[in-house]
Amino acid sequence: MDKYILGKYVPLNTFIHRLDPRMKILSMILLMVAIFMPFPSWTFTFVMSGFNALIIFVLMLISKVRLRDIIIQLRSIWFLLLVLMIINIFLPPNGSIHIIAQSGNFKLYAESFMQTGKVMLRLIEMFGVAMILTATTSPQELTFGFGWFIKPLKKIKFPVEEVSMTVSIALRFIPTLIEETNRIYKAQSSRGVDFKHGNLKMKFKGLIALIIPLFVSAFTMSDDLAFALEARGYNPKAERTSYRVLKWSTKDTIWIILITLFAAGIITISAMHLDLLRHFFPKIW
Amino acid sequence: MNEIIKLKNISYAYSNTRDALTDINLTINKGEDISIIGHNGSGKSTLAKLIAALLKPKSGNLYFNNVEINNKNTNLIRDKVGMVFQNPDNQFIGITVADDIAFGLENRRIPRDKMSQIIEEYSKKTGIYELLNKEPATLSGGQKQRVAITGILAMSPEVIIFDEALAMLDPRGKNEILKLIKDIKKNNSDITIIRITHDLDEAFYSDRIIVLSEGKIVNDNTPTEVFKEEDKLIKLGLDLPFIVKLNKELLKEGLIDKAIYDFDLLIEKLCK
Ligand SMILES: Nc1ncnc2c1ncn2[C@@H]1O[C@H](COP(=O)(O)OP(=O)(O)OP(=O)(O)O)[C@@H](O)[C@H]1O
Ligand SMILES: [Mg+2]
Repeated sequence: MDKYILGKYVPLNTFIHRLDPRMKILSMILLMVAIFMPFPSWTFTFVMSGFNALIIFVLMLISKVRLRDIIIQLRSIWFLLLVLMIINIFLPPNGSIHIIAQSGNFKLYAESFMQTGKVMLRLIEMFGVAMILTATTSPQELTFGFGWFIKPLKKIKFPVEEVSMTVSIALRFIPTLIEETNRIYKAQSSRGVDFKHGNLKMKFKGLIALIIPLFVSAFTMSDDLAFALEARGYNPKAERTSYRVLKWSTKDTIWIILITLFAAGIITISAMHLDLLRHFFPKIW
Repeated sequence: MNEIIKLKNISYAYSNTRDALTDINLTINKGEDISIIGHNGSGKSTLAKLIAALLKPKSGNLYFNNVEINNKNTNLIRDKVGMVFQNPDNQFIGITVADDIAFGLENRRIPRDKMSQIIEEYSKKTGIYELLNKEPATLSGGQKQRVAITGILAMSPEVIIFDEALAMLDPRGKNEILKLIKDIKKNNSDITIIRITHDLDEAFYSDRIIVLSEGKIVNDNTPTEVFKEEDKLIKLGLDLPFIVKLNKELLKEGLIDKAIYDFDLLIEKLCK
């Protein structure tokens, strides 16, 4: 399949692949915050956004995530962006002053397009960060990493281990269920169910022919699985040891310091509410 | 001989209307290699799950190593009775082969460094050491069953139950697993093997056969005795193993004067 799903793990062995998932999750959060920091002027906003984009682009290069894959992600939301643009045109952002065109009462502001552009840039950056994380971190590592972060919730009786186990079993069975769906699809096709042609009613019938057997399989699967878990001594209430362990290394410490410094810098600049560009380069502006 | 499992007057029902098993009395000795056969729905899997304490009997008692099993001590069985199920996918719990073998060890709180050691040792024994980092989607059915068996062996079980563990495998996978079971038995004659199977040739080479029909034990004897009663078997929806049929024909044709159930010996005799 040549479809790029957001969140698909690419089993390579780049430098970023080898980092601790906890550090990667933390970095992602920090970068996301940096991406969404507001700045006092349009020019400054775009300069900062470009700066963020540069950093993210470098990370993409290291982790071998291609820009193309991110653009493809945007395809699924171009419609949303269009709607956003229309909204921005009719309800211009606060403080819009640059009129490009005017007809009667209606004024078209440059800010409407800048606002849309800003959101689009941020979305691309956001996708970029998310894809770097998911492409370099296997779903298991992710579950493990998140499991570590929610560990303190155990104090308030939140079933941390059970949730982690459930998620990791769900992840394990997704490929099996996809395989099963394909198998049923083929079996039903060979019995004459047409999934591709015909009117809505026939397509709906086809869907039912797919879903019912899939549910039956899923129930058998969960039944089998429940017995298999129990037969192997799994007890959700009991303490267990863990074969997989997270290893935090010096590399991770260095990286998290760098990313924190970067995000802290961006946040500080944003918090100053000062158009630094105008401040330092008043001549140009 | 030491008895390891004993079922006394055990009945089980999934619904109120009909018993899946009625009044089962069965004693299995340590080190036995025993087969359970019977038509579809005769209650074989239910019996297996009762022996493994995965189901709780409606009535009757289960003993393991002479200890009566109740709600509080099912872990006695859990630790010592392993079960391989029919569908290789639905019992593969780990994300990779190593994780799957580790699953049972994690549940028993084995420390991590010891776990790695055990996984290495047993995966080498069952010939899946090279597969340790593979994901289930990339394995054949036979390999997945091999992983399931390794996960059980890693617990040093006393009993292994195979519930049609070969049914979904291709002939090659089937032979591989049959040979693996044979090796397990050869390396540890104390281990008790319970095979639930539709493959009568497999059953024929076990020490003892239990025939189930409609939730009742209708025969419990040595393979040669069980397969002597052809008419009875056919009535139960069963048949004779190929090797038995072959011997019958050869005897009838006068090509041999005495039944020979060892395939290699039979061929040798015929070639003379
Ligand atoms: N989960 C269940 N709920 C209700 N009835 C069940 C369930 N599992 C099995 N049964 C019924 O119990 C009886 C015995 O089933 P069991 O699965 O033990 O048979 P089996 O000998 O293993 O059959 P097979 O050869 O098909 O595996 C059957 O009549 C079956 O329909
Ligand atoms: Mg069965």
